[in-house]
Amino acid sequence: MSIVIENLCKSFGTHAVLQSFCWTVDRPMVLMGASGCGKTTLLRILLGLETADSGTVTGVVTPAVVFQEDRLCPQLTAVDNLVLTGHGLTAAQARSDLRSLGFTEADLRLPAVRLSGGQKRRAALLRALLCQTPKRC
Amino acid sequence: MVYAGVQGGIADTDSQLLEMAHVYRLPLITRLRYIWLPGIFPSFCESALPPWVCAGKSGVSAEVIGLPDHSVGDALYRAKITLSTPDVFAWTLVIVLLSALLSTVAARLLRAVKARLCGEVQA
Repeated sequence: MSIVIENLCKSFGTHAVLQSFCWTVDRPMVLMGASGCGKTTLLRILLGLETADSGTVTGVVTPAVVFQEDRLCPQLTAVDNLVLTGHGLTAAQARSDLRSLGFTEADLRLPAVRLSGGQKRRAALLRALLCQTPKRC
Repeated sequence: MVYAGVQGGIADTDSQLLEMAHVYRLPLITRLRYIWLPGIFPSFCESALPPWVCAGKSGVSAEVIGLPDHSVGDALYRAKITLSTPDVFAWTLVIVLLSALLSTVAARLLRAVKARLCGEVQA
C-alpha cells in the first residue's frame, strides 16, 4: 500500500509552505529538509491534523505516530494508555509487551505522569507500533 | 461563576492530547471521559464550591422570607420577633455550622470525583 500525495498546496497567510508537492511513499522513507521547509506541515496533513489548501492524499489507512512529546493520558497507566488507542488490543498483550521493554510490575501500576522520561517514551513508541485498525471511524 | 470555570477548563484542555485522540481515532465517549473531563473538572470544582456554599445560605434567607414550618429560617425569624437574643444567636450558630458542614461535604465529594477522573495529576 502506497501513500500518494498529488499537487499538495498549503499556505499560512501569505507564506506558502507547500506548493504543488507530489510524492509517492511506497517503501520506508526518510523526510529531510531545512527548518521551516514544511516537513511538519506535510506530516500533520497526512495525519489529518491540518487541511491542505488543495491537492490530494490517498493511502493513509491507519495512521500511528510517535509525537515529539509523549502525549500519554497522564492519569492512566501505561497499559491503559496502550489499550485506549489500541482498538481491540488487550490489556494482557499490552502488559506483556511493556514488560519486555523493561517495565516492572510496580511501573505498570503507576499513572503515566509518574513514569520516567524513558518509560514514557517507550510507552509512546509501543502505542504507535501496537495501534490496530479501528473497527469504526 | 461555574460557567466561567467550565469555559476556562475547556480552554485549558490539553490540545496535544486532543490531537493524539484525533490521530488514533478515539471515539467521542473515550475523548470525553479521558481527555475532556479531566481537563474541565478541576476548574469546575474550583468554581462550583463557592456557589454551593452560597446556595445553602440563600436557602436559609429564603426560609426567613417564606417561613416554611419547622425550618431554620422560620425559627430564626420567630426568635427575632420575640426578641429572644439567645435563640437568635443559637440559630445563627446552627446556620454557620450547617454551612461549614455543607461546604466540607461538597469539597470532599468533588475531591473524590476529581481523584477518580483525573487521578493524581491535578492537586
